[in-house]
Amino acid sequence: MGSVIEIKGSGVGKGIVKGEALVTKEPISFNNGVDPTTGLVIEVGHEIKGQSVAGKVLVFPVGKGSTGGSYVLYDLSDRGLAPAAIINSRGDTVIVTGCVMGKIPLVHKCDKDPVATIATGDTVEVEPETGIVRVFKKN
Amino acid sequence: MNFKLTDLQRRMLDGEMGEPVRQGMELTVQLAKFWEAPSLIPVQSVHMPGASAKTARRAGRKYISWAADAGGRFVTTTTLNPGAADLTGFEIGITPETMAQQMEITESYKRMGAIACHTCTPYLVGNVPKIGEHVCWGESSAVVYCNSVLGARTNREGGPAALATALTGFTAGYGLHLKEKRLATIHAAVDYPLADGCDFGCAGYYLAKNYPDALPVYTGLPERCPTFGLKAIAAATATSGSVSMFHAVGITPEAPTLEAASGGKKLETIKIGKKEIEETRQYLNRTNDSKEVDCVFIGCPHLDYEEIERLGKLLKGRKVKADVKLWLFAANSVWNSCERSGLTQVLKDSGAVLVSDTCPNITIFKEVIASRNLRSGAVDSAKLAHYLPSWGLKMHYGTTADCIDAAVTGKWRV
Repeated sequence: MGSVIEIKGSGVGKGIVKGEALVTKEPISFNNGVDPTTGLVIEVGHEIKGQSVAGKVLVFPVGKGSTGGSYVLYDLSDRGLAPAAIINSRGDTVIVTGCVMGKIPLVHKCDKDPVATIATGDTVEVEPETGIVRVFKKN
Repeated sequence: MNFKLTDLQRRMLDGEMGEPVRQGMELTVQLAKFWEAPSLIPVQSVHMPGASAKTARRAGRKYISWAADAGGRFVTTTTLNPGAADLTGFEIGITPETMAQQMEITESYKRMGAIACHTCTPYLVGNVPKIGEHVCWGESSAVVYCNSVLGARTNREGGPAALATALTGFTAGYGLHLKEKRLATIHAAVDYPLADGCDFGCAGYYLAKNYPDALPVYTGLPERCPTFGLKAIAAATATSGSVSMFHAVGITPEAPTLEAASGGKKLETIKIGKKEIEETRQYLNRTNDSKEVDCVFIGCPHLDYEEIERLGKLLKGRKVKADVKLWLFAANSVWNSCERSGLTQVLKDSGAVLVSDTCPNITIFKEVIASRNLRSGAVDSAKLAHYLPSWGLKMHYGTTADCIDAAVTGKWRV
């Protein structure tokens, strides 16, 4: 049984969600970077190319690229392929709008860097209203 | 929330002006709370991303149609970003189903009052905000151009936020709407004679790949910097990162000097020289090991008059190789002015196709690759070189002249 780490950030969304973490140290553009019909990361050379964001607690430093990303998040949500939650080191307008529209819980501006603190495979509980993230370390 | 809604904003939120306006105000207020905006501010214009069947996707298309059906009407001048199709008749290679979806989106926006210019360069076709004006723009390349070259103020807005503002006239006044959030955070000293759009693209791509959400101030850009260079650097910085504004000393209205750009703060300096430019060019060429080229795309962001004149000179008396596609992309009204001025015949004579309303990046490119049987492309845009490999096309990246050479010979000879 691994340790539990608590991270405090600022969030948007309702309820408490729990899921398996998928972590990348690289920024993500949802438009052209994630296929909304499959949920797979498709950016060539991206650290998590080929992996599915569906149902994961997706952790990355910041959004990048196309402003089409907000509707891609909304569409992923509509198709049941959205991440269970998103945790960012820093806020990005396109990601925030997509999360609000798609009702995907989001936490950013954390007191500990989520990319360094959370590892892929950890179990993560996200409470967006308080901005609290509990990380159940796998190792 | 740190502010009170005005009476008008409250009535919008209470649903007095219909359900689309209510939902628009609700989203705007949610975003304002999240970003701790000190106020909602009225905007001069909207540039609407999510104007394509590709970017709006199924869920967005349904939402946009619903907003139009439910009586939503735009209260501010709203221009549309490119769609998935050329609406003047050129068949880019999408399915009839995608075409029908695109028509549904365009018609829905038109019913709400949009200007259906379908271009990523609204600042070339009449949506030209002035210094200090507040706007709500999407399309990452246009956002950077708007803040950095025009000196107007916008955050990098996603489709739903821009739609909400078009319906209400208000945006959340945080981030780049605030003077103090527009100060540079890093100094990018360019030590290379940027000439072609591809050089500018490398400089911007390198910066944002290493500092994805910085607000850079560039020094060392050429005097009398061409518009195509500023378009290219804007598009590239918004591709490898989420950079929404840069200062260029002597160009950006807020940056007469380096000190003005940073508010007097001493900044870390990074150098962008020959090594950085060449490494970036190699990186953006990494997906293509083939010397054969079967498609060349020029016009990301959409072409301006100077670029179209240069293309005329490059293509004069030359023929595009029979099995190669050379597609040139610009706003429809820009093509119309060029047609009237006699600038397009030399392009058409070469075999180039003049495309309006769309681009490879914003159409459903998977369908185009399949129907046109494309395998290896060449572009002079860092944005296209970065994104198109996602959909399975190998890309070469070079100067406009390199790309025209590839279109004529079918070979990448750089």
